[in-house]
Amino acid sequence: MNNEEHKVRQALAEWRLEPEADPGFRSRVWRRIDRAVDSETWLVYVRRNAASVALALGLALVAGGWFGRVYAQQQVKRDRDRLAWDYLASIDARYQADQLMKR
Amino acid sequence: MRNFLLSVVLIVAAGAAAWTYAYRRCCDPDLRAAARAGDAEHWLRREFHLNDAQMAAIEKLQADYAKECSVHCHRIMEAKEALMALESESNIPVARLTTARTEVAQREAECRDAIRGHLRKVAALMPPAEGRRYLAMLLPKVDAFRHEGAPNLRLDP
Repeated sequence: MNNEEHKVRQALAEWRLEPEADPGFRSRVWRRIDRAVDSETWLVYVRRNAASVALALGLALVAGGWFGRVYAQQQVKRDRDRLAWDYLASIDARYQADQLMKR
Repeated sequence: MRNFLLSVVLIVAAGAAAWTYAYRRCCDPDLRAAARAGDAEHWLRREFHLNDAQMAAIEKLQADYAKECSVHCHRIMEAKEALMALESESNIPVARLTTARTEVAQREAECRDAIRGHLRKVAALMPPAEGRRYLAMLLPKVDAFRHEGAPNLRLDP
């Protein structure tokens, strides 16, 4: 080890870095993170949250399909029932008598 | 936030599309139209898979029954009007009221029996399985008339 090298090592060993506290450091970091998140495209966002998006989409499809089916079946049942009553009313003298007496 | 909201909107739209698809696959537009128009004959033909000959025979039976139905209707109205007249008077003996009420019930029972008989005749003109289904659907409604059915028929178009 020559003399120059020794001086450098000594200088490095004695060197103490004492940065001043920066109160705005954290907020600046978060602002940069927020900016980065805001500027990402929707496709990147979806890829980053693929599991949640897939789960929500699956639930929406299943729930939408199920409710649509149930609603249609109930409507068919109601329509059929109503037509059956219409048909019966046309041959039911009790109903016709009630209607005539209401007039 | 923008991406989150966009995702929510697209997921809701996908749910709505699934609802529409399932509804269209399971609904019955022809039945819907018949219900809106109150077209019971169309429903009868379609519901019980009747051909033209069967439908013509049923229509003839219905036309014949209509005369009997109007006689029943007239008799029921007479009995009800008599009962209402009695009920509007004061100091009427209970026995007279009871007789008048019995008369109404009796005439309604005659009407009910006539409807049942008519329904059985109509069912006999249908294919056997359809006839059984027809009776299974309509006979309980004849008995349930007072409790749930006909009076509010057309109030909800």
